[in-house]
Amino acid sequence: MVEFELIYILYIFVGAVIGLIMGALPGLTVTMTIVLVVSLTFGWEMIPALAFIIGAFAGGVIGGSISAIALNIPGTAAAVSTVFDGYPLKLRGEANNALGISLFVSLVGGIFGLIILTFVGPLLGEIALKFGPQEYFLITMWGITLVAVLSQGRMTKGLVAAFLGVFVGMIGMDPITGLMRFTFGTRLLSGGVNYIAAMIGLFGMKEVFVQLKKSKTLNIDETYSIRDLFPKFKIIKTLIPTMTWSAVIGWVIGLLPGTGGDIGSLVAYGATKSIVKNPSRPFGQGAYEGIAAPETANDAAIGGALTTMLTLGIPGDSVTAVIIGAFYMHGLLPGPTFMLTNKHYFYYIIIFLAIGTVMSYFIGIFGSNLMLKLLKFPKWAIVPVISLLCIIGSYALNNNMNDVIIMVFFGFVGYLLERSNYPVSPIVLGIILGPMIETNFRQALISSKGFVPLMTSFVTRPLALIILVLIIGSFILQSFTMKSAVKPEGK
Amino acid sequence: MKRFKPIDLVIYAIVGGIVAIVLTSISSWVNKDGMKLFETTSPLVFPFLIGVALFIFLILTIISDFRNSSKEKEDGEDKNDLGHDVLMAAVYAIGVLIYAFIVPSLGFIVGTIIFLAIIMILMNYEEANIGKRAIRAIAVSAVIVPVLHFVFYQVFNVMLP
Repeated sequence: MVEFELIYILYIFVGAVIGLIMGALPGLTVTMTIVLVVSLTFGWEMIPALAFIIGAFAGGVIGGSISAIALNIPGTAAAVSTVFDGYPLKLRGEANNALGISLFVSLVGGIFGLIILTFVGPLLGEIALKFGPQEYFLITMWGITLVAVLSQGRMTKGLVAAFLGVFVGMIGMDPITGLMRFTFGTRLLSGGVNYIAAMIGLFGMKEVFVQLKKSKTLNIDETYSIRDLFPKFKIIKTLIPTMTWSAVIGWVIGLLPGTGGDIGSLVAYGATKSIVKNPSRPFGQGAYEGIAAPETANDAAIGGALTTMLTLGIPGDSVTAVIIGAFYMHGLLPGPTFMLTNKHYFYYIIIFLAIGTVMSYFIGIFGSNLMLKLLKFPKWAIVPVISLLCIIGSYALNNNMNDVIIMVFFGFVGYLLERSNYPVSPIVLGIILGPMIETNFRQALISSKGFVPLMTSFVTRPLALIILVLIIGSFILQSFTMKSAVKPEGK
Repeated sequence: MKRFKPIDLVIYAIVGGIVAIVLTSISSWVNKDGMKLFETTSPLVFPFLIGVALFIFLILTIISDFRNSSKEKEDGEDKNDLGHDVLMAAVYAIGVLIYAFIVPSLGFIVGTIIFLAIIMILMNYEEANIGKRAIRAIAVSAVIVPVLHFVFYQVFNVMLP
């Protein structure tokens, strides 16, 4: 039974405002926003915490396009391809149209993703109930290897990062025999590495280190006309086909373990470039289709990523990895049994996300000028405050300084890795998925009674075989689509 | 060695160190504690596979970096810049840790105002006048910290250091 209280709307609203502002600020990612928002909710009841986190998620994804259009700097990775046509459109004097289209198609993409989640989620949940450890092992491995392989041109570095994350997940007590592993006899590591502290470090503190260099205040001297931000029917009508396939692409890519809105938007942009022969303007020079495709896809991907997360317990991307961590923290265990035991939470999430998406649309319109003013807020004031939020967030986990040390350590290591061109997202996925991979691998090994029978079972079990084929197919398809999507932008 | 960037060497050392820790720990469990590695119920088999996988991917990364090094040499970033940035990040990290350990004795509001003001003064490169920098930094942190204290402690019931 889903009981809805009006106060939840307030939580979603506050979350969406925070998400929109953080998403709009260049350098502050959606993942970082969620990590910091999660740290506020440690002592909260489950449902208000869900409302708050989901509001921030919806707002953060939409907020990324504001700086992409106004400044030629994507606020989030998912808004990278919005820059290609959004900024040229602004230079043509159509900033209102650009942001108006972006916000509207985000709303459409988000709602589309949710509708599909509502129908497909329960079905996928039923299929997932038939999964054994073999199937789970394959799916979780698929998640971390796919995100690593998709680290454009840095596959081996992505794999190193992913397996580093798995190693971090192994620190502490062995889940089956209770053996203490890699703790060096210290109390600091005996309970394992707190994954939320590690995430705050990898996404929050690391970004602070990155921003230390870029402390220049942004120069913006324009305003939006609120009335013109509501999209014109004439334009939207021409964008319906683009929105349709982009929403489907975004949702499907969001569904794949390890991929999310950032990849979905790139692929949708690439697909639209090759499908639309007569765009409103040439791509790269302010084509409306060039804004509609990535923005629809990155919001539709939210529904896809949540489907995988809620029904299989596997985070679709780094944002859902953080969200799944937050769910664990609040005692909620997404996975195949989630639809049986916590079905009401499933519907809460859908309702909150729907409200959050609609709210973010209107906040984006009415608050756009305020957000432009916030973009002018000096970096020398923002960056220290973010580091303070990271300290507070990690301290509040257990009210001790050990988690602060872990957070700073991971922030610094994440910074070093990023400076050496290693992607950071696979580490987080590795930390979250590592224990799942290990438990399922060992259960599968025990039930198969040996390594050779285990390998054989991957092809003799029908569901495992289907997943194996899907894995191989997705690798081929993803490498192909990523190449075609990324190539034209590199020009 | 000149073909690699110093930061790459640091990462190789970190990852190589982790591989060494994993494999030596496993070796110690096998040889000293008599645990079996390749048994279906062994708690060592998964860490062993991860250690080996990390080692293989590290070697592949080193080979790939070696191949790309000549290409990157021309358009690569200035080594001094990188060293300066990493040093700045390290100093900042140490500063954060010092703050985290000192703040319980100073009190959250006073300790945090001092911490934020110092960082803001150091980060405000755009303002040449150090006096103006200091006044702005102290004013901003004196406003922000009580607000954050109220929001986290009073509204959200979050424990503060």
